[in-house]
Amino acid sequence: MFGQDDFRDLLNLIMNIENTQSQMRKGILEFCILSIIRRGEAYPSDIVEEMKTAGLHILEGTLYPLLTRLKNAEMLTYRWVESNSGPPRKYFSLTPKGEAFYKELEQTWQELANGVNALANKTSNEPLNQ
Amino acid sequence: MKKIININLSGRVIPIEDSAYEKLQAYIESLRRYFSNEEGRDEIINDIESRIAELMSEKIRKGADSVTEADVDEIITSMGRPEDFEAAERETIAAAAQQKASAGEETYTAKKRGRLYRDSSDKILGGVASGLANYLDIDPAVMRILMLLFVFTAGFGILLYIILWIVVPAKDLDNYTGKRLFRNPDNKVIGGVAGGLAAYFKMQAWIIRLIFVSPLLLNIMFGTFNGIFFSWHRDIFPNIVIAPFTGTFMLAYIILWMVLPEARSPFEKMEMRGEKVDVNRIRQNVQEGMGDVKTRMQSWGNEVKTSAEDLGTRAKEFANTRGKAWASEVAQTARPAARGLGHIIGVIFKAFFIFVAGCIALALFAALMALIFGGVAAGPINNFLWTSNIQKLSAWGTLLFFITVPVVAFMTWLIRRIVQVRSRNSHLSWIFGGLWVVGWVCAVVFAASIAKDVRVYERTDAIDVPISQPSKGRMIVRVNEPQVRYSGSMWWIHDDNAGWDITDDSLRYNNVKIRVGKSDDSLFHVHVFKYSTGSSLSDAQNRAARTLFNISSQDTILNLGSALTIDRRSKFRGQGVIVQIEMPVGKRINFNESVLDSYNPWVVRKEVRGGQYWGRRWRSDWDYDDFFNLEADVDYVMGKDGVLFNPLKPTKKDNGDYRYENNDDDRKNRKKELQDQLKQIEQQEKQDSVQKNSENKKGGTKQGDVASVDRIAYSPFTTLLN
Repeated sequence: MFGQDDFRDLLNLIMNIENTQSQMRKGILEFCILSIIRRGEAYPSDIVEEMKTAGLHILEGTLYPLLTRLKNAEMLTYRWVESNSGPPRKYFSLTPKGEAFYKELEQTWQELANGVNALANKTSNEPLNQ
Repeated sequence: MKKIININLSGRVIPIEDSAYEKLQAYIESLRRYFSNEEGRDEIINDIESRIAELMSEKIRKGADSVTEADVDEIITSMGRPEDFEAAERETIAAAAQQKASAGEETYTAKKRGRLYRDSSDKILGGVASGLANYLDIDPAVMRILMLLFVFTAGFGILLYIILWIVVPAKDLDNYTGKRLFRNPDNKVIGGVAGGLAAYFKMQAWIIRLIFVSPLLLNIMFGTFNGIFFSWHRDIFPNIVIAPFTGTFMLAYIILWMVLPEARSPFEKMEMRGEKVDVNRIRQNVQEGMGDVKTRMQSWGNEVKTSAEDLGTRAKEFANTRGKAWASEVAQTARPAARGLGHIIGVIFKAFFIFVAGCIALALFAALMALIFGGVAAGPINNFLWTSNIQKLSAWGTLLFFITVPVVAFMTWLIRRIVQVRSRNSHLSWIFGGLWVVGWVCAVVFAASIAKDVRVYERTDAIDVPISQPSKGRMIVRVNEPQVRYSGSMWWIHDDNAGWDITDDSLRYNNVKIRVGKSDDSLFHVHVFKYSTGSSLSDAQNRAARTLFNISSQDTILNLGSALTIDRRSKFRGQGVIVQIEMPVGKRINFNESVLDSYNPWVVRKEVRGGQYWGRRWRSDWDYDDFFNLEADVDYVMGKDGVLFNPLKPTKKDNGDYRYENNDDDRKNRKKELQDQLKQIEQQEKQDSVQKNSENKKGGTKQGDVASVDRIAYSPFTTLLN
């Protein structure tokens, strides 16, 4: 019989598929942000600008919570910098833990990108062993 | 003219227009709500505020006098509104929550494995449906619809609900954050209802559309099928099962169309598809409300305190607080007990009320469906109802606007409640209100028109039916025509089709009453009265006179028609026929089975009314004479009190005191009395015939026809009675 537990399992399965997708999107976004910050201390609006020039649009309202979350996860740290145009600014930089996390993400990304490229660039459907 | 105020944002003083400030405040409040579940909410808000301060300072630095509304709009656009980054953001939040949950082994499933509670934060009645929905993690709206179906299809559902209401504890449960029903503007043929349902149930829209259309298609299909091949098998095919669904589904679609909001923003579209929503505005509202109560309580406390101080001494105040503490203690212990009982009574009352209201609404709805989808097709009926076009129009107007509109409005309200549409739809109420006003006008016109038509209730003069006097003084009443049965093609009249029939130019029905009374002489007499309502005395009488009813006599048998017939010109205005049989005391009458079969029990009630004075009072209370519980094929004898009795099975005198029927003494007495009466009558008859024979022997008149014999027999009989 299809009991309540089975029902929950099914729900979980569906949830997991949805989560994988959002997990991936989230991962890519984090990867992008971390790669910008890795090059040196960064101010959030600079990150938004840089991503925009790279063709990736992100709202500041989306970025702030992400940074806060990464900071709380000890991937990032920040430093207050006095600004003459307004209140003091938070400049973010990577922690060693963040660096390790970045490496991990980079590897995953490379694998993913290579795999996708290899499939996308193939010209014909010949079997691999020929 | 604009008011400019200075605000302190992240430590910067910024001149800003008043209206712009309000906008900014609303924006930040919306962010605060949006991030209410976020761990670092304050930090995020602070960061965003700093950024806003920076952008504003920039404006000022570049030479602007103050921050304008346009500036704020620009800033908000660059930062993004919650609705804008909800789509992407929510997924990240959900994912983070998932991550966090799996880390702490507090998994998604674990949260669902809670106990069953009633949801006190989201309820229509007792929160049972929403509690169950929470337990099973489905949309409360869907649960409520299921529950309603269950309650109305299976009567004990209401009992189950009440039991759950009483037994299951209430608790403030988390609001449902899953999918909600919307209309889907991106996937629509008519109103997007099917599209929205499809998105909700994660099905293909065409399947939903097919479900909506299938009863109609099946109906058409079976209709043709029946018509072509199986017209003699009409009843076998489930037309009667399918046909009501056609209307119901169509109306369901229309109501859903009206009731369901359209998923406009990306946020609503995600809600529709059931993607996780973490924005918990309602709970936020509740929390704000609670805060309000708290401050009020505080101010009330202060008031109490000051008034206590006003009273004077500290001792008094001390006693006062002690007394209060004690009182509250008592109240606390007393309350649960009192509440328990009161609660149960309240629950039962409320549930009963809603149940009754729902039943009435559903019955009205069903009746409406039958009327609308049947009545349109019921051409012949129309021929017999309306005496004028105004009457006809106002009748339809009344049906459509006066009756339908409130029912539909009630259903709309109910469904809006169920699917929790919170926005007020003023168009809807205006439309309903307006249409209902039209309905009132129609109803008044209709009522006036009908009232005029039925102002007078009048009968024709008694029409004597020539009969042959039954031999042996025993008359048999029977119906010799076949029973009237509905012979038309309207599917919804499947039961209760006996007793009437309608065609384009004649209406037949069995509103026939039989009265048996005492004859003034020694002969059987049969009269027929036809009666009707009308706008005037002559109108009523003319209409009554046009009613056709067959009656004939053949030896001992009185043949009655099975129904009266009304022609198209007369219209149906409550016409009826009364067959009055007057019989001498001591004579017998027997009602054939066909009498009871033919005359609908609803009309005749299988009773023959007795009472010798009915002729004088008949106009006022002819429907209120004593009952006579008639049995078929039984010889009844006319008693001297003008009431028929069954000599073989005497019952108590029929005076309505049926409550005392079990009184043995009473019954024995009555039996004896009746038997005595019968004996007397028989003796008298014997004497009469002896007397008659002797008279004949004496060479008296030989032309003694039946009438004269009876007359002779009559005279001593009257003396006996007197």
